[in-house]
Amino acid sequence: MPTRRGLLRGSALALTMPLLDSVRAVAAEVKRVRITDVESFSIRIPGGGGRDQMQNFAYGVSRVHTDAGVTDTAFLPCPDDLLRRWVKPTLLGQDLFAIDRHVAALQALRGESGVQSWSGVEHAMWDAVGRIANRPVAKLLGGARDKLRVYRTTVWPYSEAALARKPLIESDQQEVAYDTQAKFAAHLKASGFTGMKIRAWRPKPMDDVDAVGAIRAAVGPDFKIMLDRTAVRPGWVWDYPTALEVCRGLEKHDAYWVEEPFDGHDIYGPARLAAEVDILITGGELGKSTYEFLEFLVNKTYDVLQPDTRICGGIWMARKIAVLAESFGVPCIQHGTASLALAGYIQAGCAMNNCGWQEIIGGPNLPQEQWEPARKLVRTPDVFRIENGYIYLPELPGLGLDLNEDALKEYRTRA
Amino acid sequence: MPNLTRRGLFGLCAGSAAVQALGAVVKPVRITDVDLFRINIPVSDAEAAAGLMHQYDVAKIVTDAGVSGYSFAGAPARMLPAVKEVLVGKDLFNVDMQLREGLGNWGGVEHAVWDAIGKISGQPVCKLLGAPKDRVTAYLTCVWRGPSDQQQVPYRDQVEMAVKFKGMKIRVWRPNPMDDVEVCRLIKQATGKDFKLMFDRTAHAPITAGQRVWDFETGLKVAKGLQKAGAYWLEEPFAREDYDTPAKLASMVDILITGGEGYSSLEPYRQCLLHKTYDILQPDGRNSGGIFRCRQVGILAASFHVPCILHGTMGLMLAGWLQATLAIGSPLQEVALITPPLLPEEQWAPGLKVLKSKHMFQFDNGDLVAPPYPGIGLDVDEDALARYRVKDLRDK
Repeated sequence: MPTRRGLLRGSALALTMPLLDSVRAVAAEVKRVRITDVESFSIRIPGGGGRDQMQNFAYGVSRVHTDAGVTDTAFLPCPDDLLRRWVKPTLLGQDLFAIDRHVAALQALRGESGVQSWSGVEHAMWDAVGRIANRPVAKLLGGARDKLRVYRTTVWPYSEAALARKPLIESDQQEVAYDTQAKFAAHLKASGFTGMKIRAWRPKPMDDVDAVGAIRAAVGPDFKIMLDRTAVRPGWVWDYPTALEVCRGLEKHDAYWVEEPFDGHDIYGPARLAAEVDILITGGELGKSTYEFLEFLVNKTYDVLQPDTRICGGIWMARKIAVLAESFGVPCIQHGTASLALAGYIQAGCAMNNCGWQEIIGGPNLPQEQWEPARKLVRTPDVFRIENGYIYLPELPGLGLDLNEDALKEYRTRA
Repeated sequence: MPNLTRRGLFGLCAGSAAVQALGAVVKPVRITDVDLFRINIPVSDAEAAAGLMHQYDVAKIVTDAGVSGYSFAGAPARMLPAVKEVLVGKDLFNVDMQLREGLGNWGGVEHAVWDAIGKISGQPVCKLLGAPKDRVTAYLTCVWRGPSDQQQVPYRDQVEMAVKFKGMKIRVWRPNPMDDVEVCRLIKQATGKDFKLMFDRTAHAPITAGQRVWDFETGLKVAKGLQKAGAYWLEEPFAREDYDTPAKLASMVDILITGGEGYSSLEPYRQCLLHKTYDILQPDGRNSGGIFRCRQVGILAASFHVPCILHGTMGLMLAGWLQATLAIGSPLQEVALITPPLLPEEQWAPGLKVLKSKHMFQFDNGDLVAPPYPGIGLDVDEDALARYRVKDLRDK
């Protein structure tokens, strides 16, 4: 057996290194990008009132500053106390790109709920990463698609009379005529959209089934109709027979899914229902960790997982949850939001190959009408591009918003 | 095909992007061409016989951004038409889409896609995928020349190799596996408590040495022996398709039972996790489908609280593996297969001829350090690649 010394006498190592040293011009090394400051503030665009309740004039904003000269923004706030006591001490001076490490550090300090509240900063960090890499964030996280089908979640606001009632709870939609819902669905369809979700909160659950019947009659077969029970938020939880009856009724109208039919943390109830009915049973918007979603998957709780890219802890956590779901062959269709906050959701969704839809939540108007006030904050002709029922991944780096800094300064209301 | 200078290439990267004015539309980067070829870096017959790595299958991804990505864990040239079918004309950054269209069949080619992505983004790939770590402890897997079952290797040679490192893995292939248990005892005696010593049964592979896949009784006996002798893990004690027997063994012993290098989609890893097959999952940087698939397995494993430590490789190929490992944040990176008495840098020395940098990888106190360059971290000398390209495979 040759000795090492013998082998290396005249070996490639000895031959190459001194010869090449003099002519080697080593490539530029990548400089670490450090976070220099993090801030969160509010902005208020003038206007609002009346019908404008269905538009977004006020935003919480999170910003990350770096030593690479980029300042990056997400339209999700971070509470002052959390920012000052935990987020800043964790992030300042750190490597911008080490987002996985930062999430773990904040989870260790503040638990999963702490991570939930900081996600505006996480979105802003991804904006920075994308801008420095000069790519949309979705392209850095897998790049599975360039557009997402939109479904409009439509919640009719209270009438003036109802607003005067105390205590005021969220609208259960019982004042809304089926015909009103059906007409708006037809309007959505005529505007190119291919899906709509409504609340299933009416005091008599089968009334919501009838509403879906009216909508189906108005839109015809090629349009997805989803129902959202929203777990415990209506103030009372369906029992199993009620949920079963509703699902059977909805199947007759070819509804697409029923969302959170029971408590949002119930692992077994939705699984039982999903095993018994054909209509899809979905949920997960309150989930805050991969472990929680793993429980849903292992127990077959939902046919579709719906992490919320703010609540779950951010874009990176949502991406991880999508990978888990993918391994179980389960679609991961993010829970939605509205207007400028959508930016991070679109990036996360376009990175996932099992996310076919983007939910946009609002009233009985189109997403473009809803985000109209926000056009004052961007330099692009529109906030996001919507065509033929799809929302497109912006062809801009980071989260894809080309912001008007002067407008941001003008409308800023709080440090 | 645009031939970009290095100066031009790095002009595209972080420095300029960081100060870029808002509003510039990001054009998709298209893959315009793919090349698969072999390089043969000249070495003497003695060096070749000693195991110096001098041949690589190179994958080159050419893009319309003027940047090319390279991998030295590429695919045979005969696969070129199929690889082109999947990649040419596609958006470089849509890796997930490419994987669904078949890129995962050539996991090493995927490394070249990520190399181009990293170069265009001006960042090491691991930074784009979460970047929890900047360095990772390396362990060496040593396989001595001669019969694959290693029965020709004096025990003292294995001890002498081990004392040079912080961790080492060797085969447990000797016809009487209790001989390997004795080697374990001797090495641990020489290296001490903190030395990580691993043993690799490699599932069905010892069939090539005239052996059989262990039955459970043998696996249990060896695992208990290795545990008593202070080994850290026992790798792939049974068949790869068998999710249950390793789980049974893992539940009965304290020594870690590991495996997973042979799987090429997410599903077997999910099955391993659901069955508690292994204490540590070991996707291979190439077999699994590439860097992105390894990252996915890392996410899946973490959600089950199971560590993910990549099955390793060597030389220039290691670049892609290292990026995946750093992106996952794994505690260890296997460096394999080292042929004693060569050390890794010595065995890989010919590969330096196709790099412009001084080092292939930097070791620091037993750790592999994240390369400072964008992409998968190799500063490739394209002229050298052209020089060593095998024109006719018969030349090799």
